[in-house]
Amino acid sequence: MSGALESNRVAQAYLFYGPEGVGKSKMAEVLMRRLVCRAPELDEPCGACPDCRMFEAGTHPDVHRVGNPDDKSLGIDAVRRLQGVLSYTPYGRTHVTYVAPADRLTLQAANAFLKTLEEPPGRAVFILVSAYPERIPPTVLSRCVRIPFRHLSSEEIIGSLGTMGYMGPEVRTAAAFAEGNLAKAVELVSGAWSPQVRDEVISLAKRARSLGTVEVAALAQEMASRAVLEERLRMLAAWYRDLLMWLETADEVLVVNADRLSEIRSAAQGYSARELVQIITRIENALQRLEGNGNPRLIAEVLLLGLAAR
Amino acid sequence: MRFTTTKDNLLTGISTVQRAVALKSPLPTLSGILLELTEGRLKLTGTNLDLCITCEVTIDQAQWQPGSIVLPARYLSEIVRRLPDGPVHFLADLSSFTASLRYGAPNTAGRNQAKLNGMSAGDFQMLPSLTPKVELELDAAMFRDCIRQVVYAAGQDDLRPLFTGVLLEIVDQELRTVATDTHRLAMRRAEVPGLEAQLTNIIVPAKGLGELARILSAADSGNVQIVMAENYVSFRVGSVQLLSRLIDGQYPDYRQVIPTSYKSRISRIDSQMLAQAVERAGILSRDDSPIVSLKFQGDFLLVSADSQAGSVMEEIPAECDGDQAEITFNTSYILDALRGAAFSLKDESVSLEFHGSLGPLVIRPHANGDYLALVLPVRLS
Repeated sequence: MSGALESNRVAQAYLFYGPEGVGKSKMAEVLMRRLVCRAPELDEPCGACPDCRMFEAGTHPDVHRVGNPDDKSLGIDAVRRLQGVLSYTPYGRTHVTYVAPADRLTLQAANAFLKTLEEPPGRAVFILVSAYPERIPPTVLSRCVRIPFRHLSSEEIIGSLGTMGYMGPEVRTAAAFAEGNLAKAVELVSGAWSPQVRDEVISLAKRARSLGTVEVAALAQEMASRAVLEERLRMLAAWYRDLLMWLETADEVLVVNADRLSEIRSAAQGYSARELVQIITRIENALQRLEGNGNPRLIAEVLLLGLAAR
Repeated sequence: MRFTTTKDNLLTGISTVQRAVALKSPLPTLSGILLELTEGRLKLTGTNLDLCITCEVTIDQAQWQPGSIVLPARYLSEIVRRLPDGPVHFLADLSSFTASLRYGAPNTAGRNQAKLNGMSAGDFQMLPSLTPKVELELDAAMFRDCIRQVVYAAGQDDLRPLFTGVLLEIVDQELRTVATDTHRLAMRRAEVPGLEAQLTNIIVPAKGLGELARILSAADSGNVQIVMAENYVSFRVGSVQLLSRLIDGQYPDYRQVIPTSYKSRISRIDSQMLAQAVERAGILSRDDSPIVSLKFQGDFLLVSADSQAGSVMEEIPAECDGDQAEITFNTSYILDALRGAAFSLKDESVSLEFHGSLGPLVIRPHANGDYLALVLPVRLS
């Protein structure tokens, strides 16, 4: 990327793809800012010229953003509007268009976008961002230079959280839960992380075998919302994974819930490795069904009954 | 920042630049007018980032202090419009971004005042300075006609942005302006002696040119200086400068659609009579889009229209050449074209060239080759 910028060989269209929260949008922002900057130094924007200031204020007339993170779909109207503004000569050096999430473009919108993407009327750079590139039509994909972003390792996340000033044992736990997603780790560590919920989940796991049907129904009712259930399922999976890890290796570095070591030690005694693998598989299945738009309450009931009836 | 001027001077400046102000812009400073005072010259600027108009305003050279501030365009213009005639004293506090206008009879000792809360001039977004590619100077009145004669034909459809612009082309010591919305086309040619032979063409948004025509009409005489740069074109006339972004792309080759021959022709017909007849006929045509039929009959052109409401039938004496069955046209297209031709008329008459029932009608001023309007007929099922 730096090389392309320094030698002034920036491609016309980029696709940044990879899992959520690993820095795709961040990278796009940096690139856009560098592209509109009037006096860049190699790959760095100067930060002082009017263009940089306007970019910072979010008012640069050459920067066009299509889509919001919450948009269910990006329709053809958005593309048409974009084509309208791109037909004018840029205010400064070049038009810069940011499309995210690019996988939400409807088929019609994507088709309308093709020509602009390949042959914009004037100088223009397109940056598409997506966590699900397989959902983008191949005709769009083939017109972009594809730049992959990968999951971050726990160590990288802990390091990044450290530079942001987050310290302490919860950093480690958050990093483990975040599954390579820095944005999620920050969210977890900066407040969304509730030790209370984890306590509840762990206590639930500990009595999972003795749950009665009535109790299961009540618990499932509590978890009837998608977000709540997903969070709990992930915590539950992490807990059983810890038990398995402990059982197999007895190495405390590999444990996610490092602060609950003594409980893990005692709980692990009650399971065999095979049982734990089965339980984790069940939870994974539940997560998959949840993502596949299953009924959260039903998924919770089936899982908990499964854990109890073992 | 401080200056004294008259209400009229200030109002003229404000109403000139206000045309470019984006009143509904999400950027607060863009809904304002920038006032800059340096070296005894007061400059007002309004812009929506596509179009930027600046105007210099005469001020009393006896007392002034430099400075710059952005004031909300709407309030500023509404207040100044309603000020009593006479001197206006302007005083701005550049630390709190407020400006006060003092006015009224001298014996009130400047106690009558309006205070406006403004914004920092530093936040005002200017269009960047130009790197000129082509510079030329033309007669302002002539250039105004070049715009007015074609700008009506430009399209309104934002989905086809290319056609919302007007092509400015320099070719063979000639300046050409061309506009089309694909249903009609207008072209004006102006010979400019001494114009460099290099071929240049830019597409300027019709909106900006419309504003320019207005400015050129207000300026009585003189020249307009045109500077073409990579992204922008600048027009300067008197104390006013208009800067517009350009439309990117390749303008379709208009020469291909202008026919070189004709099937039948009226070499001469009174433009005024034709326009009036078409206008009258349009009234008694279909409501949604008025249409009118044209047909040759001996030495007359028959103009007719009919609908449930009634019908109109008129004969206009004309020098007809060839045979022409009935062809139907959109009334307003014909009227626009005749109005465009009116600026180039030498003897109040035009010539009409027909190309069959589906081919275009070409309207030219009689005995003057510098203008041409082309209108496609309406296809009746």
